[in-house]
Amino acid sequence: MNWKMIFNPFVKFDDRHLLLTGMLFFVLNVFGCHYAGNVNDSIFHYSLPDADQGLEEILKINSLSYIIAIAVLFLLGKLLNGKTRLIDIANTVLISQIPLIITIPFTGLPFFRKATESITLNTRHPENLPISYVVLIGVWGLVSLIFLIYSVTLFYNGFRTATNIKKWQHIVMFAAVSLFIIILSQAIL
Amino acid sequence: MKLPIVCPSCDHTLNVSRMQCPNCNTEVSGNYELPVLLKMSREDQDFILNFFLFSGSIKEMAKQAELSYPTMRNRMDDLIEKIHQLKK
Repeated sequence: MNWKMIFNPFVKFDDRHLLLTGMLFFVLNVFGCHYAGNVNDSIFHYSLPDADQGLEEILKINSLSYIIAIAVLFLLGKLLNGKTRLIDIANTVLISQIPLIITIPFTGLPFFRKATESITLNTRHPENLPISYVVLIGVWGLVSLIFLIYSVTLFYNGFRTATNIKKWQHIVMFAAVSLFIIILSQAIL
Repeated sequence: MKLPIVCPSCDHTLNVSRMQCPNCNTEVSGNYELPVLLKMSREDQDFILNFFLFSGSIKEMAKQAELSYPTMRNRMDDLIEKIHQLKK
């Protein structure tokens, strides 16, 4: 295992192994979301539901957000390269979300909830905020950002491997469509 | 010994100007263009030979090279593109 494999596992690992790993993390994500009180309403995005939602509702929303992403990216992949396979696009979406799936349960931890609640309540009076909470949220923001960058890197490398795109026009198109998927998914779900 | 295919001075593809029979030392001189396969790098030639030896199965080649199927297929597509460029 070298650095290249960490940032682009799609080059080396068998597609079925990647799919199984992705599916396993998808299931874990449903429980992670339930624990943290979130839903994965689009790829790269978690939001707080209006009311307490059961596992079934979280499973429905998470599944739909993944299906939308896979379907749209598969269409784009086919357009850019006729040899693009559905399994490679599914792996791109499933594997790229793993770094975020790992971070989500931490936001459900009691001390973390307390910190976020305190910050929400004291937005107009920041002087009342305990410094430990500010540090905790600040460090967490930085860690989340690193995981998000890693997640986007996996997403880009996965799609590039699945479709063999090289031209900058195709890369721009991929970025635009990815943004469209995120907006569309959040608007629908 | 590695067959040089590119001019060390200007990077243009080399032609064959002389061939010799190792048995009777007969020499043939001329200006022959290298076949497309020989214009490719040794690594690319090995890839094509392996593809043939694996009965054209990219999946088997990927397994043998411990790489994923799309990686191997992308390499194949890049090679096809390279051959098209060389044939122009």
